[in-house]
Parts: sequence; C-alpha cells; structure tokens
Amino acid sequence: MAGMELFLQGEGERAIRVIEVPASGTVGDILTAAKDRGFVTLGAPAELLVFVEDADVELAVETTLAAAGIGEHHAVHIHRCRRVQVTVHFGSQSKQHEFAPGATIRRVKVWAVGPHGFNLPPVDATEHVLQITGTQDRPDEDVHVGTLVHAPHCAIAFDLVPKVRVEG
Amino acid sequence: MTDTAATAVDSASTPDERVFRSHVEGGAFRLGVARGRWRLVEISWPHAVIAVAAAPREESPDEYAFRFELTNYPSAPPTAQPWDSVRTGPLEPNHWPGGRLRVPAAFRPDWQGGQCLYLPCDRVSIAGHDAWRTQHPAMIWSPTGDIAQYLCVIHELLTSSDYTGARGVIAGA
Repeated sequence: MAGMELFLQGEGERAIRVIEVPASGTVGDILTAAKDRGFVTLGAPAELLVFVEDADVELAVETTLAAAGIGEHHAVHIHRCRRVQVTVHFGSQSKQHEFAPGATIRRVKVWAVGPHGFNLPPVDATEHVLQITGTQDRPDEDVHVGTLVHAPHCAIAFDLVPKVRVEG
Repeated sequence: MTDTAATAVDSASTPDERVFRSHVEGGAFRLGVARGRWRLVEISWPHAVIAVAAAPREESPDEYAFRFELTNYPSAPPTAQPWDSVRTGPLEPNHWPGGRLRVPAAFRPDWQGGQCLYLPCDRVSIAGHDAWRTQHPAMIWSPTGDIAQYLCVIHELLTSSDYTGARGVIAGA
C-alpha cells in the first residue's frame, strides 16, 4: 500500500513531526499514525479534531484523504479546541478574531496587519512580528496557533512588535 | 524516517553528527525543504552546506549557500558563513546579501573576516555580546532546538522587505 508523508502539529506539541499514512486512507488514519508516533497524549480519541493547515473547519474521520485534498507533505493539525480566540495588541489597541487551531502564525499575522486588523502599510507589515503576550516567544510562521493553547483554554494573546536590527 | 536516512544517521561518527543528521530528517527541517525555504547541499562533518531561498531581487540569486560549522551540535550553537558552492570557498563580499538596515547588520563581511554572521544565534558572534540575550531573546540559540531555528532567522532576513539583493548589485558593481 502506497504511503505518503504528512507534517503534523497539535495540542501541547510545538515540534513538527512527520507521519506516514496510506495514500488511499482516511482522516482516521492520521489519528492512528499520530498515536503510533506517541503524539496524541491529550484527551479521549472522540474529543480529537483533525484540521488541514489554515483550513477553517475540522474533517470527519471517515473522510478520505483524497476528498479532503490532503497530499504528500501537506500539513495537518490535531486538537481538542474547535476554535482558538486570538487577541493581538498593537500599541494601545487590541483586535480579536477566531481561528481554527491549524491556522499558522503566518495567517494570524496576515489578518493582524491587514484591513480587518491594524491595516499596516505593506513595508511596515513585514517589519513586525507576533510575540506571545507576557513572553519573549516569537513563534515561527509555520507554527500552528493550536500548538500554543491547551483545551479547555482555547485562547491566546500576542503583541505585534517591530523587528529590530542586531547591533552593539 | 527513510531507510536511507536511518543509515546516514547510523553511520555518523560522532554524537554531534548523529544528532545533526537526525534533525535534518526531522519535521522542522523537512517542512522548510518541502516549502522551498532551504535545502541541504552537503554534509562533511563538522561542516554542512545549506542553501537558503531569497526573495526575488534584480540581478541577485534566488538562494544563498551557507557553510555551517557544527562542532558539539546542538549543545553549542552553530556558526555560519556565506559560501560559494561552485568555487567551494567563502562567498566574495560583493555577493553577500545586502539591504537597508537589518540585513546589512547581520551579513557583515567586515565582521570576524566574514567567518560568521552577526546574529545572536551564531556561536562566534554571541561571544562578548551578552546583552543580546535580553535584547534579542527570540534569536538566541536553544540547545533543545535544531538547525531550523538558525535557518528561520536567515530565511526571514532574505525574504524581508529589508533585503534588496546582492551587495554588488546595490553598489552598482
């Protein structure tokens, strides 16, 4: 049976893992492969939701990977939260938006700097980065926002901060 | 991990090489490869050459190669220098990445003779720059991470609006 590799992120796991699933398989095979790799450690199987990266809704476990549009080296996400409430602070202003847990930091930032966020000019937008509020942690653009939260607390806040030149 | 990759990891002669090869087969590095952000050119321990993609700029390459020195990886941070993979030597200074503020501050041919990058995640440059640990904590090397953390810093710079192309192009050379 032909297999294909997927990149997996999920709740409580910042690392990006590689799993192998049957190319003709279903979304349920993602849960099985994740469990086999020791990934799924939180919640009962029935609580776990599978998302395609940057997609808005979860997938039914019986959906075939082909029907879900999942192919070789695509990225998926497993989480108990269906949505993550994201707050972004910029100066004295704050904006909120809900994302699926498989949303990348890249997508969150696109919203934050865009017309529904703080509407920054393009050059300014690229020179800012999301930093988790109260920390110095600036997750990479490929990180899924769901990796940063644990159910039942499906919310996180970021500060939109400028990138600064290394000097001194 | 593929059988080939497992063999490569198993054939590593030292623990640091073994860890590095396992990280190259890990999710973070391979995701970057799959998305065209970087690619492994070669490993000749304790060195590895990795090419990092750059944003399109006039008369500039679509990627820059870097030779990493990885002794005691990942306990010790890597150090990296721009590399000419064709000539198999250090990249000529006028071919280094150029830019407005952040890029030229990081890619400095004048710093340490061009042997490293002026970044907090670089083993050579962090020495004597303790203030960077508080000024740039997100760019400090973590021994629990992998080579992707250094590559992400380089890739971000080379795809930023600050990057304007190779230095020689900027200077009109």
